[in-house]
Order: sequence, then structure tokens, then C-alpha cells
Amino acid sequence: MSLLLRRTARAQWASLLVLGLLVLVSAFLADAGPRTLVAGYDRAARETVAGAPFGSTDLVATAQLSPVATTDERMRAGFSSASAEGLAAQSARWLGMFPPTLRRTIVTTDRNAATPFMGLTGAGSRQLSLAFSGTAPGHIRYVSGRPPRAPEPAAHGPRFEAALPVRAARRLGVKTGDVVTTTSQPALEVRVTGLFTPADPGSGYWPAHHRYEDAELKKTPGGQVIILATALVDPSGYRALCVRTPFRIDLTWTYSPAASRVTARDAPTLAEDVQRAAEALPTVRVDAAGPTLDTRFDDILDDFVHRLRTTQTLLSLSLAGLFAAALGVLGLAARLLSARIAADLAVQAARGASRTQLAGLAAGLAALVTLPAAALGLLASALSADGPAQPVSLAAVAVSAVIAIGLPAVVAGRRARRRARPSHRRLVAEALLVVLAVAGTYLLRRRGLTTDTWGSGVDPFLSAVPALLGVAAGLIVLRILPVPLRLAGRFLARGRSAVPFVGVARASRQDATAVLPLVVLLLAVAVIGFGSTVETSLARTQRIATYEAVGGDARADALTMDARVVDRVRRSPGVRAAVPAQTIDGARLLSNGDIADELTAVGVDLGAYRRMMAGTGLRIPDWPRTRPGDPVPALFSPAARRKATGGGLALSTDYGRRIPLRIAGTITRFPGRSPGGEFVLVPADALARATGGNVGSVSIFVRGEHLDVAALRRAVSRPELGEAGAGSVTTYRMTHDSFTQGELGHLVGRGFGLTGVLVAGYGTLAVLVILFAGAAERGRAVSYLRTLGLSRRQARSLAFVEIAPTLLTASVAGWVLGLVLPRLLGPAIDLRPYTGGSPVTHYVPDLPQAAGLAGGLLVFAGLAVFIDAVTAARRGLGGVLRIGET
Amino acid sequence: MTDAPDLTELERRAAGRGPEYGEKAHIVCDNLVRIYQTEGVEVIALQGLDLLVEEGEMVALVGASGSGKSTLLNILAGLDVPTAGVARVAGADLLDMSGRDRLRFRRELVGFVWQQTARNLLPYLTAAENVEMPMRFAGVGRRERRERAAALLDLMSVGDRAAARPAEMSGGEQQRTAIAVAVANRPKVVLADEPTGELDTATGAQVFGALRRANRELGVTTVIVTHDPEVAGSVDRTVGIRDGRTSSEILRRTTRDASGREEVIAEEYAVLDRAGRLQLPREFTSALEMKDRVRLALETDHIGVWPDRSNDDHR
Repeated sequence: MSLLLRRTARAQWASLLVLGLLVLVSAFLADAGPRTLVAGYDRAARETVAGAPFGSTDLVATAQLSPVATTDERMRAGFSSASAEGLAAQSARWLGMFPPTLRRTIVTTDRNAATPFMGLTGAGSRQLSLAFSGTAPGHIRYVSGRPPRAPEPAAHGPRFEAALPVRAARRLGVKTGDVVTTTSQPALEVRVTGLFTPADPGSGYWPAHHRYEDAELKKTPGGQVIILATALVDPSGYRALCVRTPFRIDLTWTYSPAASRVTARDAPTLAEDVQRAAEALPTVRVDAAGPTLDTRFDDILDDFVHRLRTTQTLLSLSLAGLFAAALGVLGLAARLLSARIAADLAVQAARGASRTQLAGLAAGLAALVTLPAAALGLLASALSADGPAQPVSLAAVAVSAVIAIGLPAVVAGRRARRRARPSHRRLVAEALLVVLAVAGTYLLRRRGLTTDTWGSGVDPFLSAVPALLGVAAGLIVLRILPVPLRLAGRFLARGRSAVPFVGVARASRQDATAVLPLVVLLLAVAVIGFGSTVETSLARTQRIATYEAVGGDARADALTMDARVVDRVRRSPGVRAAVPAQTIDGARLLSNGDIADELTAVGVDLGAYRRMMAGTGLRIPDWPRTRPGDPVPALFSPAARRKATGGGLALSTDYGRRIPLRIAGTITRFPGRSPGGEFVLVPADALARATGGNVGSVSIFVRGEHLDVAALRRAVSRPELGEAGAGSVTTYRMTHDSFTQGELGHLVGRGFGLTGVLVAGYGTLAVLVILFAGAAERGRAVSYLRTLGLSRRQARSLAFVEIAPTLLTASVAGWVLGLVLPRLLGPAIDLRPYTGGSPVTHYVPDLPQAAGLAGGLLVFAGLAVFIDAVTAARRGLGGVLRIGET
Repeated sequence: MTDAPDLTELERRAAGRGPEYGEKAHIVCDNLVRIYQTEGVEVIALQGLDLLVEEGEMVALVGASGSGKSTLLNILAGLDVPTAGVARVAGADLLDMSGRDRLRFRRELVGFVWQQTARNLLPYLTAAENVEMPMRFAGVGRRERRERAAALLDLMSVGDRAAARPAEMSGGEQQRTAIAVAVANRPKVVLADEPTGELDTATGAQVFGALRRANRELGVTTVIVTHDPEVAGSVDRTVGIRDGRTSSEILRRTTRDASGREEVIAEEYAVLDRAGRLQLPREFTSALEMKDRVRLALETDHIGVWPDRSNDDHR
């Protein structure tokens, strides 16, 4: 056997090499793809956690030592949290109550205890809080004096020792050695033993512990500034605070997760763990009440998981298509190998080889290249791709290997045994596939891929549905295709030229082996079409959503409405047009004179705004025509519309006259307003007339190129007004980036792009197989036809006519499928995480890509002619005819 | 009524029936029918063909193309299954064979030689390796394989080409190697389909000689489908097939004439099938303008056949 295997392998090295290369590539892709994706997901998870606002991912447990009456000061002596050691023990205890996955992500813990801020005697508004920190002493450097020690006895209770940040001491006007006294009851005497400064100001410790770096400044409504300083005490000082003063003490334990320890796979578990910990902690009875856990970590994770699921869904659909195409091409290579060894196997069968021996030979032959190639592919992937190996990869590689080895074996085994009616079995298999695809689509539409598989990941069967649909569509199209071709043939038979007739006749009589490459081609085109449609539609929705959120290329918000500000903005560099929206918060909606609700009134010239935003895809309604004296037309937000019942509607502001309203409709979104908010749009001139113009705030929607953000910011801010003169600028780019940027957004783009390229490669391979496999047979047919008088030129166009209909049909069908797929799967794909909540509804084809595809097809058709010319030149007419039947 | 045989009598008669048709023959085809469909058209390739070949006989099948001789050979090779009738080769019933039986049949009972080298030999094996191949499949030991392959190649006079690949051999050498391959597993029957079809006369004669040697020295029953008159004229019996039936047979005897020279006498016979049907050679019937009907008359030692003249009488 081994001799036969060796000799056959040597004889069929070309086919085996092709098979091996394809297996290698498939194995590499199957392993490197998921690895890279998982690495990307993890990167995105880390980026999400690391990029969250400072401290928002911290888990903060808070509890209190309640204030006690001065007479019961010693009551708190027995409390476990009334000592530094007790706090540390509790810190460990709370952490121990976190579920293991969550616990593993926590890298730093901190515990703080602080009194409320207490006024200080002396000039100015100065307040002091005495605090104990488990970690601060390790992050500070004394610039004068010494660290605090145990309180010393004094006339009225203990005199505490504490250290202050240098900057806080400067604000308070105290220095080392000073003794300050609180105005609290009872009063505390505090000796400042030293001043400190951050040992490493750049350390990540300080943003979360600002109170140990400097005093906070608080402004009262009256404009007075209060200095809030925190002084550090030592453990004995803390103990004394607990048992010898009656004041409330706020306890906080802070647990900071490390972004580096968060993985995409753990993210859903982590979010649940946070909830569980938050539920568990308050049930502990410690001293007075159990701690409460506060964090935004779970929200951040939930949000991430949402985006992650969408990304995984989109990419899994795309990858399933790619994998199907890869398997298809692999199947083609396996079939080619089978065809190449068929004659040899027939000889062996005639010489007494059993089916098992034949199948064994074919399988051994394929295994000879498949197994090393798969191993090499996996190795190459392990060396080049980052990210952990995924079980799904091994399954995919196993499937590839089984196809590469099994298909030739089955074909070889079947060859020896001749059974009738394989076509029926094939028909049943194809019908089953179609039914499976349709049922899958139905399930997918009902259940969805993204929204309902929350937590359980992406369903592999449902992810495969689009690929299945592609294959099913391919089978149907290619079953039906011969019918119109035959009809066309009948029509063409009447024509003068023989070429179209013969070409179409040959195209309509292609055998089953010709179907597989066309299915692959259709699938490839469908995957590309799907990706490009989703991307184009996503980009469009993102663009519109950005315009909806921003209101233009930029939006300049000024806290105080002023016509001069609007003018300044209009004159800013790059501004082509600007439309102001005067906004009055806290306007009252009146119904028959009674206040129905408070809402935000926005005065805007919708006509001007619509003209300005023409061409952006943003839909802006227009004001209905009104006659002077009529009530003013108003567009209500859905939330405000619910309140606007009853007749005699009017709008009243703190300024000027009241404005009679009539309902002109509802508007769900308006730039600068949250979609769920209560607001009402009225014509700008009506609001300005009633209020006198320069009241409320203003949002100025701007369009233009190369906008100077700094200039805009200068234009809207009016420093002379202080706080009320504040302004801000939001640009299209900033908002758009928040939708599209980020690792997940990149992954989708890159994933689609790369999948498209790869699948296009597989499609090309499939077409090449059609061309090369057909070339020999076509060459023979052409040679016979040339003996009947076919000219060389006609022979050349024959290849074109024969290839073009199938190629064109498969491509067009694939493209149409790609366009229809997003619509078909509509409810199953939730793209809202990428659009700031706007659903993607309009799926639009990507015209440049369609044009590219058409160009590619032309190239292929040209290639067919070229290949035929080359093969014909190599063999020559006489050669073909002399070879005869063999 | 009382003469009617009872059941035991009938059973006794059934059991004691005379010898079955072709019971002793090595290849038996009885009323063989093969109908197949290509592109919806029904083709009746064999329409009740009878053929008997004795053990050790060398028979040539001749006939026009499309007469059904290749179909017959494929059936005898176990590659095709007849639609109806009886086909037995070396005791194996070709209509009722399991996959395992068929494999045993191919391995042990028959060997094939085809016209094209590609169907006979694997191009990437040497002549010796090709001869060893069937023995490998049958699980013959390495040493025995070697010895037998060498012996067979010697017998076919291509022993010196044992290490050559098919592409390095002449057409005649290829065919002789193919014969060695065919007899490698000591089959009872060798079937050859146009073995000399692509060869010139001299080479064809060599190949036929090799077949003849295999037949004589190994005692293999040999059936050759051929168009080659040289081949057809050199076997003991030539069976003509026409329209899916055996129509004529030529028997050859070797006698010595008065001067002591060997002389081959060929006598042509028409085949009389079991139902008593007889195909008259076309040249006989057209010479006498026999059409539609003939008149027969039984004489003491022959049957007379006359053209039907009754129409002429009436005219």
C-alpha cells in the first residue's frame, strides 16, 4: 500500500500541493482569525475600562459610624471599624465577599475614614476634616515637620495631631506647629505636626485622592468661597476620633480593578458579579449598618458587552461566510484531486482493490498533505497571531481536515460501487439545505442574534444562517439557470452566428461539478455585498445620527442668548452658514391658563435650518403657514406631547408675553436635546417677539469647512459675564468619533475589510478552477468545432459566451443576496450600539463596490479567453484530436 | 384422470431433471438481456444471448460495433449487471453477487486486458510493480509477489523490462505486461477487450502470442473481443455476435494433409439457440431473396430452407 501511496503522491504532487496549501491557509485563518478577534475584544475591554472617567470603575463601599451623644463617646469603643486594624480587616472581608472573577480583577484597595468638614475658628470660611487613610502615608513626602502621632491630653479632651498638604495649609494660612480649633460642638484642637506634598505627583494615585493633595474650594450661592481641607491623622488618632469624639465618621473602602485584568470573555460575568456583590454587602451587619457598594463599573461593562455582542454577531456572520467559502474551495480542491486519481483508482478497482483499500488510498493521499498542512497552519498562527487559542478554531480546522481527507475517500469508495440514482439523493440533500436555511432565517428573525443571546454568546447555528442562505440561493439559482439558458439557446439557434448558440448550449449543460465553484463564487460575492451594505448603511446612519446629535458640522452653545454672539459665530473662520436655536429652560406649558408642565422651549427657524442641512440626509420638518394673529405652530417632543392635552395651549416664560400655541406635530429628535426629554419647538421669530430676543441660552448650528474650534469657542464665551458667559463647542468630528472610534468599531471595519479580501480571494480561486477545469474540455470541443469550420476568433469568443452567463448570474445573485441579507436579518442585527441609539433601517447598496465587482467580472471573463488561448496554443488542434477519448 | 401423476411423482421428476444448460461449461450465458438508458433513450444491448465456453478454451468474440460484444465482456468482468438471464463465470453467478463476492471475483477469478494502457497499468509503477499490484490487494506475501511477477514477465517475454515504467515501453511491451498483470492472481478466466487494437500487425501477433501462452501454459480460459482478423483467425473458436445475440461460430481444427503438413480447417456454423432459433447469414438470405418467410422441410439428415414463392404463384 505504501508503495502505491508514495508513487501516487509523487504523480499527483500538483493537486496535493494545492490541497495542502488550501488546508494550510484554512487552518491558519481558522486559528488566527478567532485569536486576533479575541485579542481585539480583550483590547477593547481594556480600553473601555482604562478609558472610563477617572474613578468610575472603582468599587466603593461606604458605611458610617453614626454620631453619638457626647456622653456616650465610649460607646463606639467596641466597634470593629473603630480602629485602623479593624478597617483593614473589613477591607479584606468585603473583598472576600466579591465573587472570584471580580476579586481577581481588583489590584488596589484603599480604606479611608473621615469626619465631616468642621469650621475652624478665625478669619475666613475655612473647614477641616480629620481623615485616616490606609494608603496615603505611602504616597506622600514631608516637606516640613513630622508625621502625626497619638493625640496628647489637653484641657478639653484630646489634642489631635495631624498633617496637612502644603497647598491646603497655604490656603488655610497655617504652618507646622500651629494649633487650630474647630467650631464644632465639642470643639477639637488639632496640632499641625507637618506639611506634605505628593511623593510622585504624576502617580495614578492622586486623581482619586485629590483631597490629600490640596484643599477643595466650594462656592456658595452668595459667591463666597469656602476652603475645605483634609488633615491626616495616624491610627491612634483615628482610634481617638472614634472613641473620644461624638462625630460621624464616614468610612470608605475603595477597590480598583485593573484594566489589564479585564477580558472580553469575563465582562458579562464581571457585570453580574458587581450586582451580586452590591446585593451581598449591605446584608452584613457591621457595627451599625452594612456597607453599600457604589460603582459605575457594571454599567460600563454592560455597555461594553452590548457593543461586543453586536461586533461578534457581525463578524461571526462574516466569518461564517468566509469559512463556508473556504470549505467550498477546499471541497473543490479535494474533488479535483479525486478527479485526477479517478482513472488510477479504476485500474486498481479492476485489479481487485476493495472499496476500503481504494478509500484508504485516497484518504491516505489527502492525509499525507492535510495533516502536516493543518499543523503548519496552526503553528504559523500560534507564532504570528496574538490572543489565546479558541476551541472553535480547532473545530473548524478539524472540519477542514475531515473535508480534505474525507471527500476524496468517499468519492474513491463510491466509485468502486455503482449504485443508481445519485441525483435523487443530491436533490434531497439540496432541498434539505434550502429548508434549513429558510428555517434558520425564520428563527433568526424571531429570536435575534444579538439581543437575546445576551450572556450566552453567539449561536453558531444562527451565525451560519447567512452562509447557509448563500449556499441555498446558489443551489437554487444554478438549478434554475439552465432553463432560461436553454430558452435563450432556442432563440439563439435561429440567429446567424453559431457562437452564441453553441456557447449558451454548453453553458446550460454543465454538470454537477461545475456547480460547486459557482456556489462558492455566489457566496463570496454575497459576503462582500453583505459587508459592504452593512458598512455603508452603518456609515450613513452614523453620519445622520451625528448630524442629529450635533445639529451641523459643529454646534456652539452659549449659556446666555445674545444676538452678538450669533453674529460672532457667523463670522468665525470656516463658517458657511449658522442657524441659532434660542433655548429657554423651565418654560411653562399652559392649558386653558393652568400650568400643565414645565418644559424647554426652543425657538428655531426650521426653514433656514433645513436649507442649511440640505444634502446631509437629516430630515427636518417645516413650519406650516400661519396667518398673523393665529396661534403659533409648535412641534412637541413625544414626552411633552403627552402633557399637551386639553385646549387653549400656550407657552409662558419668565420673560415677556405668553405665546398661544397649536400642535403642529411631534418631533422625536432635535440636536442638543435628549430624545426622551420634554421640549417644544416654536418658530424663532415668534419666541423672539414674545421674549424680546436676548433671553435664555442659545445653540448655534454651524456648517462649514475647516472650522476653527478655538475661534468658535472664543466667539461663544463671554468672560465678562463670568459663569453665565460660558460657552461650549461640539463638533461633528468629536461626536462621530465617539460612534466609530474605539477598538470595537475598528474591529468591525477591519474584520469586514479583511473578510472581504479573503473571500474575494476564495471567489477568485473558485473562478480560476472553473476556467482551468473547463479549459481542457472546452479546448477539445473547440477543436472539433474548428474541424467543422469555426474560426479562431469565433473560438475565442466561445469561451466568453460560455463562461459569462454563469459567472454573471452567480455574481448578480450573490450581490442581490448581500443587499437583501441585512434586510432579511434586520431584526436579528442590532447596530444601535454603533449609532448612538439610532436604529439602522435604510440599507443602501454601495455603488462603487458594485462597480468594482462588475469590473472584476470583466477581468475574469477576459481571463477565461486568455487561459483558453494559452491552453489551445500549448496543445494545438491536431494534438487534441489525436489524443482522442483518453 | 387416474393417470395423473401425484405430488411425490412430480417432485421425483423435478429432482431428476436432466443436466442443466451448460452445467459443465466455464462461462455460461443463458438468454442474457441487458437494457440500459442513456439520455432517456432505451438501448437493448443484449437480447437473449446464449454462450458457453469450456474451461481452458480460447474464444474470440467478433461483431460489428454496437453489436453488444463489449457489453457482454463488461458483464463477464463483473463491471456491469445484466437485466435478465443467467451469467456464470467459473461458478460465480454474476446476477447474484454481494459486494464481497464481486471483490473476490475480481481478485481471484478473472483478469482483464483492455485496449488502452491507461486502463491496464498505473503509469507511475514499473512493470514488475504493476504485476505485483493485484497480489498486493489480495494480500500475497512480498517474496512470492516478487518471484511470481518476475516469472510472469519472463513468460510474457518482457522480463528484461521489469524495471521500466509504462511510458518507457513500446505498445506491445505494455500489452504483454498488462497480460502478466491480468494473470497475476491465477485467475480462472482472462477477458481481453481489443488487446491488439492499437498495435501494428507484427506487434499484435506478439501480444496475441503472449495471450495464447497464458492460455496454454497457465490453463486460463480466455475470451477476446476483437476486430483483428489475425486474432479472430487464430483461436479455436470465433463467436460472431449480431444485434445482441450470438449468430455464428467458426470452429478450427488442425489436421495433417496427405503430405504431412499441418493444416487449419475452419468451418463456419450458424448458432441454434435453445428455443430452436437460427440466424441465417445475411449473404445467404439476400442471395436467395429470402424475406419475411421461408419454407422448411425436414429431411432424413438435414432441414431444407426454401424461399417463400407463394406470393409469386398468386401474382
